[in-house]
Amino acid sequence: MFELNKMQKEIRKSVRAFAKGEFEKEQCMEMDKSCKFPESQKNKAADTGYLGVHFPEEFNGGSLGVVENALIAEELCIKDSTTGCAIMLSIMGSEFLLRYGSDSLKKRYLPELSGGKIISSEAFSEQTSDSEFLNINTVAEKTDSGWVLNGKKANVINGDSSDIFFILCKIEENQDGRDNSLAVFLVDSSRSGIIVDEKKDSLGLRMLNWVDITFNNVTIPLENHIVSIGNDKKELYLYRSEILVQIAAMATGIAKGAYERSLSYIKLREQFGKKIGEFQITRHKIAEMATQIELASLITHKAAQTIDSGKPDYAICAMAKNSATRSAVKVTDEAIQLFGGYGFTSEYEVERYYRDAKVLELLGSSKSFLKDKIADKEIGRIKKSKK
Amino acid sequence: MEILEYTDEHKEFRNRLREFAIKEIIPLADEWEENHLIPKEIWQKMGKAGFLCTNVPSEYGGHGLDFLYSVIIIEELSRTNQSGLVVSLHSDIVVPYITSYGSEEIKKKYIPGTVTGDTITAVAMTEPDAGSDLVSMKTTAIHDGDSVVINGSKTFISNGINCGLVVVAACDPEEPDPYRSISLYIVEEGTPGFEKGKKLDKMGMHSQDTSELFFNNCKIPKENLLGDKGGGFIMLMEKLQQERLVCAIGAVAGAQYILENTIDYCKNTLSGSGKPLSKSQATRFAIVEMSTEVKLGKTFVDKLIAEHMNGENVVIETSMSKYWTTEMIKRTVDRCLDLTEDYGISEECLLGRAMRDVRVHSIFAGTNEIMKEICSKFMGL
Repeated sequence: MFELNKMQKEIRKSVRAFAKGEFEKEQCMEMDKSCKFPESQKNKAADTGYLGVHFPEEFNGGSLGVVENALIAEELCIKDSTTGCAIMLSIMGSEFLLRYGSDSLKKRYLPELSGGKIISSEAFSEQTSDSEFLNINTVAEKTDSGWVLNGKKANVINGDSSDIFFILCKIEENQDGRDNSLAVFLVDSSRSGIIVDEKKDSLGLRMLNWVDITFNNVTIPLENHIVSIGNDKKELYLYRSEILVQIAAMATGIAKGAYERSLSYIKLREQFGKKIGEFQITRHKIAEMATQIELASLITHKAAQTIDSGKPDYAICAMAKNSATRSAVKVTDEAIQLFGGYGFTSEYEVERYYRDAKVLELLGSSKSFLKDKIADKEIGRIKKSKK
Repeated sequence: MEILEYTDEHKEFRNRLREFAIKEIIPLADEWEENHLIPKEIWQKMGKAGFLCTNVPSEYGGHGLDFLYSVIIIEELSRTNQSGLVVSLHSDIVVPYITSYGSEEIKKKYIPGTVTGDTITAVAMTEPDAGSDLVSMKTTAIHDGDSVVINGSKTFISNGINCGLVVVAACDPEEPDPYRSISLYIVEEGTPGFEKGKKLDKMGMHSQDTSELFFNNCKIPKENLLGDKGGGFIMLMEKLQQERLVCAIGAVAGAQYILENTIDYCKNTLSGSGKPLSKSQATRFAIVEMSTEVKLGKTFVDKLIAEHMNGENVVIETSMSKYWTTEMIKRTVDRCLDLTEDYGISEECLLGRAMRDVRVHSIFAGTNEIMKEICSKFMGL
């Protein structure tokens, strides 16, 4: 997996051309500023087949893999970090449906998602839950005709505009003392009892909205129960692996986008009678940035590949997320420094890339949690010392 | 044992300022951020309360206080969740050019207003094509009888919109040696040919009215020249020690404030397992490491303050401190955000604003790359 195949290279090229044609700089800056979702850009990306490329063809997907999905994310984010992320995350949570949903649910929703007709959100986190999803207090209760959901979810991405939620609940019927009786449900946002709080202003990825949502006696059909989460949380980890790879891919694209802009700038900007790109310190900064990007890209593709090969490796995906987002923060930070005072202004875009990179680093599972999980796998069980 | 000896008067001054900030600044910080401007009245309130230009001698309406009062002001304003009210730029950077190099007449005319806050000041050095490479500036000043005509444009000027008076650096096109061509002039707001441009749209420091300034055949009296003609570069160099020290003091105090808030958050927020975040070993170590860095910075900077007040030449060390402390505050905010996990994504967590604000610290007042150039030059490398 050291080189992309011909088709993958073609995808890269065509997405790049698409983004160049469709993402207009001034418009993107304005959407970021006013926290507006890039609706028309998302629809065009969907029409071109860039959403849900990893869905099967029968569900309007591309029957391709996570690697190809990552390449699309990367290329979109190179041209515009915020727009690229907004498009990719507009079908967040859909992998749950893709991997575990019933055929009828898949038939109904997946084509709509990949066609850009509806957007979805993942509603997992709660005020007091953590990356391991301990302490989930949203409850699903089974009745004769369906499920009744009650609880409050925190920081739901696009929660304000979503058409469907993938919501993680504790199941009430299991009163046998079993831990982790969790399940994921699909909830249509048109159901009554869904109360969406005010949108929160965010540090980055401002084309998305972040809201807390209360589910108050929300009833859904029986079949909307997508999957029960086992004790080992295998289903959650598989889903999370895909999200981690996607975040890593977007971060890699953001790093590349800031890098490409820096590269052009240092060849033009003159100080002390020469181009700043001629100074050794600048050259070394560029060398460091290029190295970071190369590493981010390699580990991200490797992580994606583990999912496509049917042997998803959560630890590698976690490494990819931590390492690619860190690289993105470092590269975008350095880009601002290279642009000097201009880097601090919105006009030169790299400040937005930097904010978006940091939000990606904070998004999903925390850095510390992911390190715990990587260590779990690397170290394995340690025999307790005898007392 | 403290490096700096604060007297009871200093301590009383700090308490008074802290109370003032709680009443007059902190509650308005969000509004200023949204308006992208600091209301002029707060400058007057600060002046009235004795918090502006504390070291200006009494004959010009000042308070004749030592530099520790400036330190206190920088430190306390670092704890107000806004960085637009740049009092130290006014009191410790711009006005000193006038007190040190202005003629008696000029001092009597302009300084009292800067102490009361009726006159807000700015300094205009940077140009679109002259940032780090200051001497390549293109703004010209041509002496013509009793007046001087200034032409050119400046950018990234803090207080650019609010300023009533600007110290402008401009060069003499007749002088071939760039180090001898720069002079400093005072230009008043309202002088024909002096126009304020648009406010710059920035990542952070939203309450700061950073803007462009334009001079188009702007005619000022020749008395508005500060110091000797052609002595601008030397004057700028002489004042840089204090300017860089001011940046370092702000960075350390800012980092300390950010860290205190993060520690509070980690102690008072429960993780999913029901324990405070601060009980995680990784979090505890991160906090200890960051606290160590803040303490190292504070010790270094406090010593430099003492040496600076003693009149010593610490150009190398202040340049080192400017680059190191500004990197340190950036690192601190970045790591603090990681500790707060996804709470940091939302702007209701003030760390986001801090991250947006501090990013410019390694760029303004001479980029950190320039700091290292200065150090290496003076170290004979």
